[in-house]
This record gives sequence, structure tokens and C-alpha cells, in this order.
Amino acid sequence: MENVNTNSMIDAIKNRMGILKDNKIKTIGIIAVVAVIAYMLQERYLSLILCFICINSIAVSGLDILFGYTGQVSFGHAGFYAIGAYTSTLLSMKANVPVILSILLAALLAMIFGTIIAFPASKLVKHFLSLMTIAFGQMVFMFISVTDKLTNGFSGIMNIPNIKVLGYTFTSNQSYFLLFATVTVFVVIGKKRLIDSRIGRALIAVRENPHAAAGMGINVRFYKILAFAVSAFLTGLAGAFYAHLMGFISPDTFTANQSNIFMTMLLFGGIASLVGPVIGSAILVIVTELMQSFVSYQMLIYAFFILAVLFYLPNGVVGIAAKIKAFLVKRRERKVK
Amino acid sequence: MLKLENTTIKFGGLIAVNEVNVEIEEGSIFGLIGPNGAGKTTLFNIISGVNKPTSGKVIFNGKEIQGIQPYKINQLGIARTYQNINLFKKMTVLENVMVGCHSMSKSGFFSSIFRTKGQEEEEKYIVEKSMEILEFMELKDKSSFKASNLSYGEQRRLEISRALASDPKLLLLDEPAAGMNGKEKEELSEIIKKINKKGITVLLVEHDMKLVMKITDTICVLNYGKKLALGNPLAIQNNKEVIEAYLGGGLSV
Repeated sequence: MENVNTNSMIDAIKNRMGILKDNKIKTIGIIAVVAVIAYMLQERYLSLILCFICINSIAVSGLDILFGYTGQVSFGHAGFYAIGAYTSTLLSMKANVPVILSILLAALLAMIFGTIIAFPASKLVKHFLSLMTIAFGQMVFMFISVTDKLTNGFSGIMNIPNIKVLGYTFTSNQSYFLLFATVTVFVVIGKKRLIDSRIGRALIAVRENPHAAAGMGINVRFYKILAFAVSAFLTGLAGAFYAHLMGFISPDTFTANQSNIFMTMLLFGGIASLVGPVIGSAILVIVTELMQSFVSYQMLIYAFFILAVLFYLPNGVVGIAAKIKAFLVKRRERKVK
Repeated sequence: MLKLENTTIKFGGLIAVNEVNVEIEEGSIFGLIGPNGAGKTTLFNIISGVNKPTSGKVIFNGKEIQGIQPYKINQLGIARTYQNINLFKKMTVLENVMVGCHSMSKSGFFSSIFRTKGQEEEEKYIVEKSMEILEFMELKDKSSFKASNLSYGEQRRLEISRALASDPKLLLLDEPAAGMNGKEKEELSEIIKKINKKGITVLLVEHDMKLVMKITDTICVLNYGKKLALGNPLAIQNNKEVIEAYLGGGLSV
């Protein structure tokens, strides 16, 4: 009897891991759906919005690894976003680095900055950490605003080249969307694999109980720094994408507001989940677009979103979905009885 | 196996552990007792790397380990449980034990993201090993529960399971019977004996005299940070100083 039990347990776990194989089908499915959507979206404006959703999903997924899974708060992610955007822009325009390479280098530079920040940050918790990350965001913002010669200050940089891959130049918003959507899918899959691995468990253990984690042989400081590095890499990547998509960047995009927007997206979508950042980005981007005429009230609207999360949706939209699912399962069980 | 040489720790003016000399033999169950505030948990924290001794040495298998980071101590083969339960509450029972496997596994960042064959096999091994430990600790049927949904006694057993997952040579148990009822205590002492039979040396801090006297080979009594007595359970029970300092009047076990 007991042996049967063990086997069925192991089978269940194997099945869980078998999702990976299904994942490949899922990936192809998602890409196909995305292609159809893109084809239908002949309209430039709508595909631009979809591009924004993808870019924000990548950045917010990065923030989720840091905040959702490792429990380290950051209100300075606009800093990494800016580093990604400016580095790729400057490399491709001033140093003539091929655009796809400049994007990678930009994300790597953001990662290096993330690692450097993480050394002091890994010793801080709660409000001390938030203050430090706010300071970091402000420092990057000040740097790009003040260095006129390099970044052209508040006038911004125009005519940023388009992304080129293997001789193909992305020009239309639809083509950009295809590219960004593919990257987003890969980021989400990579994130899932990371979280399901030994490293992901270590990150969650650090969030849940750093003392016990250290007692279990987990180098808490190393994993905190790793989370910062991965997070900064993804947000930097998103920043670089943003720059090449828009063709124009200025410091106005990279204010503390942007960090707050990332945080709102994450909280509203649902922290420590795979689809939460994507849902949060989608809802907030769409709401922002619908509210274009009330731009000056933008932060007020976001504040309402945060309040809604604090009082009614502790786990965001994903949490609500899980609750509904649990409710339905219970009801079905009752009916069976 | 583990040797403390003149281990002393001071917190400001307070000498919490004062020149303690103890040697724990391999394969034994070693009890550490003493009144509240005697420095038992502090001594635990010194061994597990949480606190660094002000002076003196901690030698584990011939290697000085005082002042080493806790995670490295775990990797050397010393695992511990906590007096106030320190589980990863939002993780499942199985995941808690899987975290415990951290120091005996080695898959890195890229092998996890690209899901290499080695990484997949290691994951499978970790799951199987964790389930084995849960079966050993009689928690297997609760493996998919959230850790916070377990009863108190089960949470204590899960802490021990998690510690066992790192393949320790020395297991430190900090008041494992606290808050347990009589039946649970009985089960616990059986489990500790079973763990010991696997070849794992056990260092036990416990207030429950009955349990300590029953299962330990050697007992060390601490009082005000100083070693008061060392010997087998019978000798401790008949030690006048111990009776005076700790057990008060007569002892009826």
C-alpha cells in the first residue's frame, strides 16, 4: 500500500515536471496566437500599446524576481530601465555598435550596476532598503539629466536606430511586437524554470526566513545579490527595447514615477507569480492609454490601484483568480458529495 | 567529533558562555541541559555559526570552525533546528525539505534556466530523497500541505526533516519537545534514537528531563554559562551540585 503511495506521489511530481514538455507546445501556441493578433492589428496604435505591454512585462518580471520572490523591495527600478535605454542608445549611435549587441551590452551594464548596488543593499531590509533604492533611482535620473554632452540633458536623444537582426530591420510596430512578445515568452519561461529550481527555492527561502535559510546552507547574501543582478538585467533589457522602439528618449521617462509604475503593475497583477507581472502590465498600460486625457491625474489613478491592492487584493489579480478557482473546485466537490 | 575548547562569549558585560570545555563523541546522543538563561541556546548559536565566540575554539572533525558563516557550517555537515520554529511557512512540506537539500546539490543558474539533463536528474533525486526523509519522519502523507497548516508537533518534526535533508554528520536539536504532548514526546524520542542509529551524532538541548535522561549517552549541565557537570544520565541525577543548582529538591524519574 505504502509503496503504491510513494509511486503515485513521485508520478504526480513527474507530471508536474512534465509540464515542461507541454510548455514547448504552449510556447508555440502563444507565438502563433501572437502572430495572428499582430496580423489583425494592422493599426499602428494598437500594436504600439501591445509593445508597451511586453516591455513592461519584461521589466516587471525582473522586479518580481527581486521583490516577489526574494522579498527585497525596490523603488529605483527606473534607474536600471534608464541605464538600459541610455547605454544601448549611446552605444549604437556614438560607438556604432550593432543594435542587437548594444541591447545585450546595455542589459549587462544594468546587471553590473544591479550587482554593485546589491552589495550594500543586501545588508539592508525594509524601509532602509527602499530608501536606498529610491536614492539609486534618483542618482541615475540626476546623472542623465545633468550630463548634457553625453545624453543631451532634458532635450533628449532623437533618431535612435531601429533594431536589426540578421540583416532584417524592425521598422513597423507590428514587427516590434512580434519580437518583444517572443522575448517576453522566453523571459516568463526562463523565470518559471529558475523559480522551480534549487536556486528559486533558495530565493524563496531567503524571503520566507533568512535565518533558517542560512542554517540550511544557503548563502543569503549571494542569493540576494543574484536576485538584484537578474532583476536589473531584465529591467535594463526592457529599457533598451523601449529606446529602440520609440526612437526617442529623455530623462522625463525615467523619473521616480516610472519606478512607482513598475511597482504598481507588480502589486496589482500579483507578486510572486508568473503571469501576474504580465496581467498587471497589460491592465495598467491599457488604463493609462484610456486615461490619456487626464495625464496630470495619472499618479492619482495609480494610487487608487495600490489602495485597491492593499485593502482588497493582497495577491493582486492573480490572487483573485486563484480564489475563484478554489471556490469553483469546492463547489464541484460539494456537488459530487 | 565536536570539541569546544575554552569557548567564551560576552555580550557587553554579560558572560553568556564562560570557558566551556566539552567533547562530543561520534555516534552519541549528547544532552545539554541547564536552567533558563544558562547559555544553552547561545552555545548552539556558537556551534552553528550565528554567534562568534569572544575567545576559545570550536573544533569539528579536526577543523576550527568558530566564526564561520552559518551557511558554510551547514555545508560542513552540521544542521540545526530552532527553539522557536523557523519554517518557510508559505512553502509546502515537501519544498521545505527540498530547500534543506541545498548544500548537497549543485545545479547553477544557467543549468536551471536551460534545464540541462544533469539539472533535471538532480531535481528528481532531490524530490525522491526528500520524500524518503518525509517517510522516515512520518510526514509523507502531509507532503503537499503548507508548512503553516501543520500541527505544532508536526512542524517540529518537519524542522528535523529539513535539517536531515542536508546529510548532516552532527544534528543540533534545540528544544525539539517544547510544546509537545506526552504521546508526541514518546514518538519524538523514538525518532531521535532512529536518527542516531543512522550514524548521525545528536546534540540535544531540552528542558524535559524525562526525555533527556532516557535517550542521551552523555549530559553536560550548564549554569550561568559555566559547565557544572558532565557525565552519564545516572551520574548527573546523583550529582549534588546539579541537584542544588537546577533540579531543586529530590529528583524522581
